[in-house]
Amino acid sequence: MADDVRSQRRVSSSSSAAENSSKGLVMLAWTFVLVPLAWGFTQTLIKAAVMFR
Amino acid sequence: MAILSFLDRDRIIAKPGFNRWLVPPAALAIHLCIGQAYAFSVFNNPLTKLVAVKELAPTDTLKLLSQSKLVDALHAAPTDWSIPTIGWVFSLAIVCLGLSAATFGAWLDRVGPRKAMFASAVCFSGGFFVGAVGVYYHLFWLLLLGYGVLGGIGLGLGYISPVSTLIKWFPDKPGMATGLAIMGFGGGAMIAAPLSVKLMDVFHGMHHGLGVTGTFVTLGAIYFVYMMFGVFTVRVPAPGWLPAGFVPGTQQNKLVSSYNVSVDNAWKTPQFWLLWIMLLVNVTAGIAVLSQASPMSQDLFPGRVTAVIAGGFVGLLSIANMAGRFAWSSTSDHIGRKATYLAFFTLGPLLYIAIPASGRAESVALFVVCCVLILTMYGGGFATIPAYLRDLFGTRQVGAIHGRLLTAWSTAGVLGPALISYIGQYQTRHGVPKAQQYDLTMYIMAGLLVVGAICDLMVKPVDAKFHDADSPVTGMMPTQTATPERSRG
Repeated sequence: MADDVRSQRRVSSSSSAAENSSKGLVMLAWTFVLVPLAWGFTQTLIKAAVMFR
Repeated sequence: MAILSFLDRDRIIAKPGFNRWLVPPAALAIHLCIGQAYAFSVFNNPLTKLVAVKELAPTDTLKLLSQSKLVDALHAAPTDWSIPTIGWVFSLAIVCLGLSAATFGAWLDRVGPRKAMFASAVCFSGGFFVGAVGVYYHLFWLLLLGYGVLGGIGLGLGYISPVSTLIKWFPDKPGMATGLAIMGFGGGAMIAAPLSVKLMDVFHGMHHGLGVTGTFVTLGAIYFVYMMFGVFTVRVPAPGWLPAGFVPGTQQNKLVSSYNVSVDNAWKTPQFWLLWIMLLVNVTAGIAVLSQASPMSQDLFPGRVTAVIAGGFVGLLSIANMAGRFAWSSTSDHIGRKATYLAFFTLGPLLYIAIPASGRAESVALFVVCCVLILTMYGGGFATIPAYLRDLFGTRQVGAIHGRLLTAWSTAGVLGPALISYIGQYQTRHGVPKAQQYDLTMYIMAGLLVVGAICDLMVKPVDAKFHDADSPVTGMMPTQTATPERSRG
């Protein structure tokens, strides 16, 4: 059981490092999906803004 | 086939150092595309005027095809389609979404998300291409077969694949993770609606059918390419992988199971059917507001809310629907799924009852607030249910179980509008004034939500007899080493 826990800690430690890896790639991937979403959101917001004129 | 071996599950097991935050964009890429389904109504009016504009003769190579005897024989639709007829396309797509998710969920869990997402892209885009031919030749059955059946299958596969993958990558915050993906489904409509309108403007006059054919083909191509980003980016965690600092089996919530339940056993538990009813009533009630938002706002506030303002109001509801998916499911990570659904089913009835009252009080602000909150909970219900399933049934076959649960959505997609239509017709026959016709509908929906609250309160941990014999601790992959099970609260 103790070995299992140590093994888990090793895995967790490596995944902690992984969270900080490939940051540029992660940013690029998020940009790829968020840009169209932001465009759609803005279009919808413009449409919804009619309510408040 | 060897050529498609890059789709195999063992090819997408993440290597050490892989950043799990790459997976949500992959999931979003799929959901942003398939979310287009919610924007299908932008094609309603153009699709009702295809025959009337037939003089815009085909100008491309398809014209040659139309001159063949075979196509002429099939080209026999003398009158335009009506709005209720076109409504069947969306309904069929939602039915096929549920059926395909239920049918292929177990396959998805076996072959992995990349293959399922690829199949989804082929079906969803293929649905547009086949649908375009149906529109071009004015063959309704082909439009149904393309967008409704083929596209619907793509919807089902695309909906559940990223969700079950994210649950495995984020065992520490499953609500937030599934909320991110399913938020994309709401956001997809926001992109598709204005994009489709712009494309129809571009193709208007260039192709037969008010630009719908060209728009369908273009959307199919764009979506296929975009979904490939998700296909090639997605990864599954390696056996034994756990997020930093996460220790499975320490959750205080007694509903969070430490065991996995197979899809075949989940089907037999009362918990599955309680959640099925909860999703059904939440979706049905949400549809009652969503489908009537524009006419209801104009009827309750005549002279104050015009058609243009009502259009803006529907846009606001789309934003609420999307925001609720992320906000409510993320909140559920902190307050629990049961409490989240209880909020929907206790606050919800009050809001539904307040809608007719807002009309009588002539309070547009109250009406808008009620509808916005209702729509956040409508979206939140979709986004929170996968995490609820994961809590009760573990992660091993959550994709397949989620797939089967989505038949509740299909049922609501057909029954909801039919129920609303029936209530409206009943009241018209009995001479109820237009502005008061919404009262009964809203009261019935409030009643349905109370049924949902009772179901939520009845949800208890799954009986041990349904647990998998080799059940690992929640959040861990089937083959990994786990700490011994510990009991909790």
